[in-house]
Amino acid sequence: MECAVCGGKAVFSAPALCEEHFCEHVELVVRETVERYGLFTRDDRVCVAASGGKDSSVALHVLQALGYRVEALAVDEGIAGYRESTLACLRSLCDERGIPLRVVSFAEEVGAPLDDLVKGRRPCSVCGVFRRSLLNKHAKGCDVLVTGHNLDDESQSVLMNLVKASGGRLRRGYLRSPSAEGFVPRVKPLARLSEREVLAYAFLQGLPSSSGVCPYARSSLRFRVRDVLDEYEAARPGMKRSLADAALRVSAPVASSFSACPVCGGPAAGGVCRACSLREELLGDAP
Amino acid sequence: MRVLIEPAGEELSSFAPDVRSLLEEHSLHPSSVLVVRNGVLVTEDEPLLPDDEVRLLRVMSGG
Ligand SMILES: [Zn+2]
Ligand SMILES: [Zn+2]
Repeated sequence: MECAVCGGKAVFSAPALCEEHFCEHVELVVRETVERYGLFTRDDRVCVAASGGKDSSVALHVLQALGYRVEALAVDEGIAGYRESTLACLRSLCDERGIPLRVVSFAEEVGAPLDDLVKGRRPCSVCGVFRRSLLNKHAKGCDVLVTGHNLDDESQSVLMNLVKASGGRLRRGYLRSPSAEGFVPRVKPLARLSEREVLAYAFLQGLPSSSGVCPYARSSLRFRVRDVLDEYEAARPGMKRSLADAALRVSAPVASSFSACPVCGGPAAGGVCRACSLREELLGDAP
Repeated sequence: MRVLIEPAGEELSSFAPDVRSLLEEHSLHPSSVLVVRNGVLVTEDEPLLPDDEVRLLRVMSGG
């Protein structure tokens, strides 16, 4: 297979591009996503929610290469046998590239590691509530919080929101979350790249990234939705992109009204925030 | 040739003449893996030789 640009040997087939032109393509897609949808500028302080996995590592690498002011923020949820190795990857990536890194943990900030908090609940929901709260708290002072969501993640979210009949979530910002007081806007500069493109780029750039899968992920709805979508995509290539495009068309980020949580000061939909009420429920007194 | 599936770490051997038939042999859709032949990323039409070492990288996110 030949590169569609230079006729050299292709390393990727959809689009058919050689190593050099494939990497250029990935960087161009990210740049266009950032600029076209006004995600952030070169003056902004860009905080990347990083895990050591391929998506956030590619986000750090590409955004730094494009000249943005990136820093990394990682949450150690306390998932034994998983997070230690992904954080080791992240540390070596940040060391190599001189990217400032902060790691905050559930153990210190919430009062217990995720493994001790689950107690028969759905781990991904418990984890999600505290992760969001900690990322927002520690990204304060930055202009945006980047997440590594790719096109596959986005197409899964669209289908999940339809399944859960959550039209509000479907409309609530696709590439950029609405801005609100006390809330650092979340942006997704990789959302127009397929998971396969992201993995290929990480491989070609030799990024130290962990290929581990969270031990809790298998129990999640997302995992099943992904299998269904992979099957559809194989039968009808382009389907994931169409789903994500549909969300892009209906998304109309409106400023939501948050009030400050009286316990932690974070954003809340009135009264005590979800993270503080869940912690109270799970651990009793706040640490 | 030796074929290694990652991240599962599963190892198998195959006599497939090219990448496409190797994937068909193991019921893998081309969009579900990246194929690395002797350390180099290759496309589905790449011919394979008995001495090759092939790594199949599964496309999935860890979360
Ligand atoms: Zn080329
Ligand atoms: Zn709170």
